[in-house]
Amino acid sequence: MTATIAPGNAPAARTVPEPAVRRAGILRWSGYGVLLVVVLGFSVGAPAFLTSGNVSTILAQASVYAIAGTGFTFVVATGGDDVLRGGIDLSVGATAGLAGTVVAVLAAAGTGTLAALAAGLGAALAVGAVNGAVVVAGLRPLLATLATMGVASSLDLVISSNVKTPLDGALYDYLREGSVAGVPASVALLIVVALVATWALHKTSWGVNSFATGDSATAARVAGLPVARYTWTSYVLCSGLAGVAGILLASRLSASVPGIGTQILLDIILVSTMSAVFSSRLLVSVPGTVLSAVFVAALSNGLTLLGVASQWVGAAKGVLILVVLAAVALRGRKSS
Amino acid sequence: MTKAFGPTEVLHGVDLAVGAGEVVALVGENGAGKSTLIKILTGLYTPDGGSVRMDGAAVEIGRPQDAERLGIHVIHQERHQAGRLSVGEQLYLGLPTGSSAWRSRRATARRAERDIFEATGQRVPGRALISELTVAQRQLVQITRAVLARPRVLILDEPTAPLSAEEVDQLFATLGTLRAAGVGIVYISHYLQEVTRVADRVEVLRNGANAGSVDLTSTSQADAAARIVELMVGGAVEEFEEGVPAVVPDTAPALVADGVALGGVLEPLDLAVHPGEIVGVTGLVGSGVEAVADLLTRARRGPGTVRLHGRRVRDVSAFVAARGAYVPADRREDGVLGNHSVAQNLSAAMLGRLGRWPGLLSPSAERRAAREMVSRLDVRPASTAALAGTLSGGNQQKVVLGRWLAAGSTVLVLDQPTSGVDIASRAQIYATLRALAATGAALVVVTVDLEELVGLVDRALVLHRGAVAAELSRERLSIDTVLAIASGGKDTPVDSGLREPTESQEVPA
Repeated sequence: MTATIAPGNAPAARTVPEPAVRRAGILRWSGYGVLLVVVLGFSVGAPAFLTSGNVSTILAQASVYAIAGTGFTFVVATGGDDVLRGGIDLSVGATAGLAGTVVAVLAAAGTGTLAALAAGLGAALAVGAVNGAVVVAGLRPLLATLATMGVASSLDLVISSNVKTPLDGALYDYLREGSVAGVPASVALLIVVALVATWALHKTSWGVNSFATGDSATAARVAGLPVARYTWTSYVLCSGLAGVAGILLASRLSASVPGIGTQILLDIILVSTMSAVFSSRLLVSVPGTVLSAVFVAALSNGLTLLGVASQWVGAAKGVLILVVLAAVALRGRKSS
Repeated sequence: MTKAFGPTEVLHGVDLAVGAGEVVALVGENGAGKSTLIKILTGLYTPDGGSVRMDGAAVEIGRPQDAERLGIHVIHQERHQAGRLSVGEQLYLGLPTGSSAWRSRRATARRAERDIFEATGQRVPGRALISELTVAQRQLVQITRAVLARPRVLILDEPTAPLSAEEVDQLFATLGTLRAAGVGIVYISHYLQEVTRVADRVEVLRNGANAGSVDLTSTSQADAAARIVELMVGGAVEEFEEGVPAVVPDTAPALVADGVALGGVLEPLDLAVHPGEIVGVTGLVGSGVEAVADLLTRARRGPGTVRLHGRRVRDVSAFVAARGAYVPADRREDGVLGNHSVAQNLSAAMLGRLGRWPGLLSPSAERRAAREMVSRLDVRPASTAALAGTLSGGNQQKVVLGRWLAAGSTVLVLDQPTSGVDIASRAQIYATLRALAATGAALVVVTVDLEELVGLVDRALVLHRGAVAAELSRERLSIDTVLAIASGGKDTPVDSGLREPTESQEVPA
């Protein structure tokens, strides 16, 4: 056992390997590449696509998904991207819907704007606090949040009595039609959220610690990080941003629509998990989430402009998304 | 400082005391309770009894954060690291010095490179991801992190396993600096010559209890090593049975490799292994020996052909289908199914034969087969329901071996079969391998452990710079000869990345 030719791969320790970040070369940009090709394709096929008015429309449509997706990205970063065991929050859509409904119902009952907003966001944060607590307690996130999703969407129906509630008011109208320096208000809100979230997740040690927790909870624990706190915070942030997105959605639609949470859930998960496409490490990111949301919104918009029958939009969208994901899978194989 | 623990399932009132500026080595066979003790000290496990005191005051270590706060840092054997973090990010993870907002990735990477160089004398690219590093590089990152944390107590669990001799020297120099600065160091290792080199005192654990301690400041290295082995095995060392004399059978070879090669690493290699034979392949690190097992089993494809019982195999699943078995070097990652029971692990390769009908599994048949194998291989704990991931390294290796035994494999390729495995388990594994050969299996053992090579195999190929430099029959096999050939000349018998043999160690032959 002792006359041993030094085991392991020692000589490699003295050579400096090129990080795969650079080795991946052209494939690193595959996500952006596909995005560019699609945009170019649409702008050639439909001259109206790249007009400033249409771009504003796309961005405004994307803002709801981007904001909720950003929250979801916190959960995936901190919980890991394994769908079964990792970070996932299936209640994100229902929470958004619940927040919109609470605000609309209270506004319709004559409650002040601030109080209505506080109640709506409070409801969302409460869902997040419960999500975080049960996940920290050791329940599988996929099942636990499926359960809270049921509760939240049911509450949504109860509070709204299962009817559309119109949402009027200065703030909501502003979110729908207002603009800041020529930028639609919803887009401005998205920009603020995205900047703060990017800073928090990608520029601070809190963010690095979150990613470390998601990559290997044991590694984080061994490094002395309070894993449970990071996990809980990520769920609260996710629900909080879902609440913001839900209120924005209700404002854009001028009404809260019962059950809308279930409709937007999968697109939120999509834009967040697809953000890994834009990362050299195949990790989710906030800028990637925003780009994905814009991509998905641009797809629907562009396909409609091209005159694709609405029944076919979903199929075309799905195929294009598969193309993007395939490009990434290819890259993952090349660089591993 | 005193740390004491009451009885847990695996620890029965173990005491351990470390003074400031003292290096205490903790040794014991796998399963003796070393890792459990460490996990308690770092808050990963909660003790069922006992107490930890620092500077005379009792302290509570409920979570890893508590240990970090108290200045207890660990270099874990498993290298718990987040693969998709960069070197810089992982290095400063959780350290107060690492928390600055608006950090620039490039600056972090540069700082990490500098810190790693200062702590270990090696260069590791700071921007690379942890998953892109070699095992040795990951270990260097872990060592640096522990040094940066300014520990009061530093615990190292098998720190040198992935390191080269030069890196080991550097690590010992670093430990010397820390010791001079008053850090208490607990050093866990299977390599007794390392232990006697680095430690002031050796604490021996056996079966979850203190077996005794050896003061190294007043004992000569050779005497100390002999005494340690005695304490570890609990009395006189068991005599290992003599190897069966080599009989090269004149039957048709079971495994024939023809021109197997890997560009830039391994030149074309020919090998024929007959039923009943154990053939060793060895060489220095970097000689291409690391790639041999992967290439022979076609886990890694390359030029050349591999035939099993005359049938050509093109990939590892064909290899297994042809009654081949591969026991890879990294059993934690490639060998056992950690979250499955011992029984499930054992039956993974023979599911087809366990049920009455094809595709249907008979749990009772699975249990029966597993029970038989567990007792045959002396897996501890002797439970077929235990999760394989919870077993010690030596017992995991027995399970991997048992799986292929159960499957009736006739050609086995083993890569470093006993790295990180304690002496007693080694002896059992060797006995099992010999028994296998005696029943007509053909075995290839790729190893850099020369005592293992000399004690186990019937003949050996020695690689030098990617080519077979010699083929030695059992009579000509000796550590000196192999060292001389592997290092590129009969006249230079030692060194160049080789660890010296300790005289005290029994040759498990």
